[in-house]
Amino acid sequence: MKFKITILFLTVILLLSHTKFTSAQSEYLSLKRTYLSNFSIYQDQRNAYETAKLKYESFGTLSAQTLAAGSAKSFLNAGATSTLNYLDILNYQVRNFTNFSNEDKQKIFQLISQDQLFYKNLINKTATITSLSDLNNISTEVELYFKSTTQPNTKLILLFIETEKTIDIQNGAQDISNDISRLAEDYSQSKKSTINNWYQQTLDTLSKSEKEINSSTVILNELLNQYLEPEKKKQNNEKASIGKAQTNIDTAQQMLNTVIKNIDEIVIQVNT
Amino acid sequence: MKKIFTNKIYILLLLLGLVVLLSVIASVAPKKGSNTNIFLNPFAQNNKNTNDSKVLNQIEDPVLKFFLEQNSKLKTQMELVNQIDQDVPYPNISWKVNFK
Repeated sequence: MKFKITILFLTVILLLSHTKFTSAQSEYLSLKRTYLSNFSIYQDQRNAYETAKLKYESFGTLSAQTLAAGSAKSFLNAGATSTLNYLDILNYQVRNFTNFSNEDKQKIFQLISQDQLFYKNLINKTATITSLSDLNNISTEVELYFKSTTQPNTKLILLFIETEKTIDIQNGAQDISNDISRLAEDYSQSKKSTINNWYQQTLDTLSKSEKEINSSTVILNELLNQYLEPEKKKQNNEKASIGKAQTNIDTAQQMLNTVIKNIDEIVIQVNT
Repeated sequence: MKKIFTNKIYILLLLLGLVVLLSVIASVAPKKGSNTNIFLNPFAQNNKNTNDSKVLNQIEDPVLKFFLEQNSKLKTQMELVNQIDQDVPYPNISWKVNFK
């Protein structure tokens, strides 16, 4: 009897652990697959629209017009769907990246929600459109929104993720450097001096890269607050700011690459 | 009721549990060329840098070896930072409809 109860218990535990283990992994894979598949559909629909439009312009028949309007609606719909899928992926990344403060997370979610609302409305609107001029107008509206709002928003979020990941690397490099410097005590005088020289140089580089990361974080937080208030956003030179943040984080990454390379070298030197 | 829960049923349940366990192991094992875990665990990808492996083999001191391994993880993490765009391409969408 005990044996049977144990088997039942083990089966339940294994089933539960399987669900928990695979759900987080498969969520990202599923989001990515859906996005790539819908983006490919968008590309096909866009090509179909171009062909249908050419036919309509050549023949000018009512059936060609209906076909062209239908294909335009389909590609707008597919574009909105794949943009929504991409936003879902960004949302997932921010949700699962623990370095973000809760306050930053909430602000980023708010930014994503604004875009999601726009594209959901776009899908509803295109479903009811019948005239070609209305299709022209709605496409102009969405093109403007995509360039002025979605592209800057998503670029900002991607840069946020990149910065937070670089902070992880900075912390890791700092930990390893400190541990290696403590090793100096165990070695001969010449090796001790090599390690200490290296440690001082590394500290200097790490301090500079930390400053670059902090500057990037300040700019990104300012931009995030501006982006949440569109009227403020228009008054600022956002392109210059985001470019500066990107340069800061790139410089920090170059410095960290040097530190990582030096750690390898110092370990080899100490070993010989 | 007793007839339903025979020994065969318990053996089947045990087999089901084993299948589930194997599928968990298969799903957790890193797949060749896959970096789908990057947002969950930056250290999940195997380090494919052969130079690193060569250097690691030359180091005998276990403490130094540990530092090299930690550093190698940082290197991998750094490589993954810039892979977001490659993994998920940006939706460059052209929205323009221009019927005359």
